[in-house]
Amino acid sequence: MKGECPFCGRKDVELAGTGDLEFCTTCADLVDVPAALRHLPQGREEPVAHLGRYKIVRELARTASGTVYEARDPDLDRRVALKVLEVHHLGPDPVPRFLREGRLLAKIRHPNVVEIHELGRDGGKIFIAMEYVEGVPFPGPGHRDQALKRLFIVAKALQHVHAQGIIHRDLKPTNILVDRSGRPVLMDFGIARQADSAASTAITATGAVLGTLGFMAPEQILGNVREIDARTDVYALGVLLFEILTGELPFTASNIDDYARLQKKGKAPSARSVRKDVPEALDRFCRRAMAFRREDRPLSAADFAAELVDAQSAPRGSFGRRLLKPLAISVGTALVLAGGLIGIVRSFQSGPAPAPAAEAALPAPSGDPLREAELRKSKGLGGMLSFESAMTELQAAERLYRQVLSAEPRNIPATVGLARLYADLGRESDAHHQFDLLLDRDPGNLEILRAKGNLLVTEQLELALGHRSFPNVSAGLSQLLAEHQGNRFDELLARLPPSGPAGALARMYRAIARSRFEEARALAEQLPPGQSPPHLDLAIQALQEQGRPQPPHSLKGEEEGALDRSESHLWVALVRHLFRKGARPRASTSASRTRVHPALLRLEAQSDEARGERARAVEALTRALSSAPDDLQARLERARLLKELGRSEQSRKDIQAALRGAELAGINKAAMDEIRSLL
Amino acid sequence: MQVTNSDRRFPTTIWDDISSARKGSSRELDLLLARYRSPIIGFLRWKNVRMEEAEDLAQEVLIRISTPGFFEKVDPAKGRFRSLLLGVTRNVLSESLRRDRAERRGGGGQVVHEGDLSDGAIPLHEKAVASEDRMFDQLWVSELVDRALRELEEDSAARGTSEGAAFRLKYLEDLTQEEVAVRLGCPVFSAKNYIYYGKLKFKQKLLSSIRAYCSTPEEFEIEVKRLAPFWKGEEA
Repeated sequence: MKGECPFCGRKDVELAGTGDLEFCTTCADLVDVPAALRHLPQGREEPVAHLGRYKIVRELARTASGTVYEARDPDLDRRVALKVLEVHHLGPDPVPRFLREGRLLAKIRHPNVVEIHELGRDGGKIFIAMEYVEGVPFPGPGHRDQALKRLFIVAKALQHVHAQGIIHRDLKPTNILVDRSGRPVLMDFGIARQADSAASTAITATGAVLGTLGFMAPEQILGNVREIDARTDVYALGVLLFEILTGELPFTASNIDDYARLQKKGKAPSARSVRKDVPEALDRFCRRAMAFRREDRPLSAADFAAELVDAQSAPRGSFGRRLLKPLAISVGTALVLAGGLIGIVRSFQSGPAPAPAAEAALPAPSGDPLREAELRKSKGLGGMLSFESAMTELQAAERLYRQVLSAEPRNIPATVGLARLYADLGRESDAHHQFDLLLDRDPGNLEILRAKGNLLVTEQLELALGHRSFPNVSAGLSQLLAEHQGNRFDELLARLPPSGPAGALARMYRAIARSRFEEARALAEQLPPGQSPPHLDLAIQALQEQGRPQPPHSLKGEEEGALDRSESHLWVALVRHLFRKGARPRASTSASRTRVHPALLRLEAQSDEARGERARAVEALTRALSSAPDDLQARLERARLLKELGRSEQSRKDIQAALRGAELAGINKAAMDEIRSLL
Repeated sequence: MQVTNSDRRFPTTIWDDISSARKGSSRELDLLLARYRSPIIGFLRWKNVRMEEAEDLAQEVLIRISTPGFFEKVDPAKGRFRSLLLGVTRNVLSESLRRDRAERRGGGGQVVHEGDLSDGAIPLHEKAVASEDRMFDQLWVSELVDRALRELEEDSAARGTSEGAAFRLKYLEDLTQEEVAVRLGCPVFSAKNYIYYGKLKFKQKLLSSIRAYCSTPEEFEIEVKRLAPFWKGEEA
């Protein structure tokens, strides 16, 4: 068939194809398909049903930096949100950028910031597994007073984010979800950037999304990216406030130019021009937050929060009274009489305080979930149940703690309870995370510092004394521990006064984290009486003696009996130490607090193997992995045993899982090689 | 700037797209930026710019071309869109280097944006410029090929046909027509048809991608000739 080629315009030429495919053979011959496909960027993948251990349920959203899926974690039987890297949408080396978002999120631990569970890799895909927040865009349901309280909570969360040196830069209703309990959760840090790196480069926005028109500060619109700082997010808070007060956006323009021009006029619109009943103080404050010049805005998110309270508690007209009325009816507490926002501020300032009014207004769960959680934890650890039943109880306890924290993210007893539960289950990183949440709010809390520090001591002991078959993995994990927890204690010390018990404790634990045991012992000796955690001296001595042929002392009889069983991790590690020196592990007769702990289960497996009962050893290690699925040492031991038992396919799966876990953890090459050598 | 073009083969040019994006929602701008940022980042990475900084600079390039006033100065007849992007990229990079040097000296004064529209703002050896051009072309082709394949697969999925799958099996997994038929569960002649139309559509989408950023048939022809060696296996 002849005609005009729609591409080159040649007339009366032979056309290839039919209908909308028509083009001349000359143009068609321009492209050699196999040669062209050689230029395809690396990393294009088919859609998947699984990523890592996660089962994809459905696609939730596509963003500039990836696709977000709802997924299920079958190991922990929980719903997660998976953000998956769309390799072909990004540059030739998109991984660092994606990882940066994951790392930024991982740095932020706050109940009102989406929680990251895992950074994962599966084949060519990279994903971030994070908390699944089922909710609606900000401000969520309820009256405007509730919206204002949520805005206050968002500002406080931003204060925390800014304190980590991170600017969100795309704050808008769809990036703040309000869950069923009324908790606002900040998310989508895809274009967030650390403030210090913003200063060193010309522009800080990344990804195709520049921010969202309507919530962007003038410095973002005008591309004055060197001016982007915390006050850029404060501007967006001002817009959110304007929207709460009026139901409208402050600037409505059909294009960027007009929007910039409106902003540039220098005066933010008055909320009272839209709704006459907006209190003057709130109106003034709102305009100030949206000032064109960032110098005229509140200096920080913390200032925004404080000034919001002031503005709301200023003498108000009918609007303010109307705002407070529904809350007074629903809560009926002194909190209301004092003014809702002031109540929240006080609750934040006083630490363990009643839940914010927004949450308090929600119906209380039936019974007392915190008490029930404690009971089920005791039952699970009490020694009367089989492993399976104990795990059922402990998992139920975890759910109950989480239920409490979902309604009251700052509930300290629930956070402590959950942290200790994780410690008992050998999920050290989860336990550290919970302890860190508490220390972020109160770095000088000695009890929490000691709990976190003891966990660290135990980990060091387990690593130093435990791994018979994989010494390089042990060394690699020890190095990671030194980096992560050493840095964490550095951060804590920066926030603590130079003198004082908390600083002394933190310095000692930092030394332990970095395997500087002599220094740790010297620091421990300087601690005032009663400040030193129980048996810390024994633990440090055990750490110092590792590898020596003869222990200078052994723990028997009275000394062993004197060990505080509540310090289960320390106890497990010391028992392990004794076993290595020839003592019996006595796992089967010990309190079952430790029976679910993977370190002790590994010990059981070791004992079983020594008796030639390798199948039993595999069972013990399987139990260890039920308690702590990320326990690398248990997985590797099981892989080795399975291989020896001729179950090579199962062994290979364990090795691959171990490789994934180790790679994600960022373990060193020697350790990776050691794992690979199992294949 | 509004480019008028009565040629029905070039109903929408990149200039119209950018102009529309600037008048419309940020979503349109997002799409535009998503389409062209990959080669820029690739180029900057090739110039040994760290990934984070490359992303920032790419963003600055794209912001600069969509900044109020920028297009008023641009005459589409002056050159190809791709050349313009490369020119702005070079300028942004050179300014960034100057700024870094100034900051190291303790300065950090105002950076003057100049010469955005001319190629070669960085004084480069002629050979180096040629090498840079070639690298940018290569990255550009990579993006075009990727986009053509993606569009083929999306179209195919939307229409419920097997052309996209057959194309992938044949050309990316290197299966024979018979093997493609087995994988798709269809007769061999159907598999042949799917592969044939998949191939035609892939070529059409590739050429359409080029047409999308060309203003005239002449520019299209020049552009196709320039890039053709890459998909004719003659680029080495």
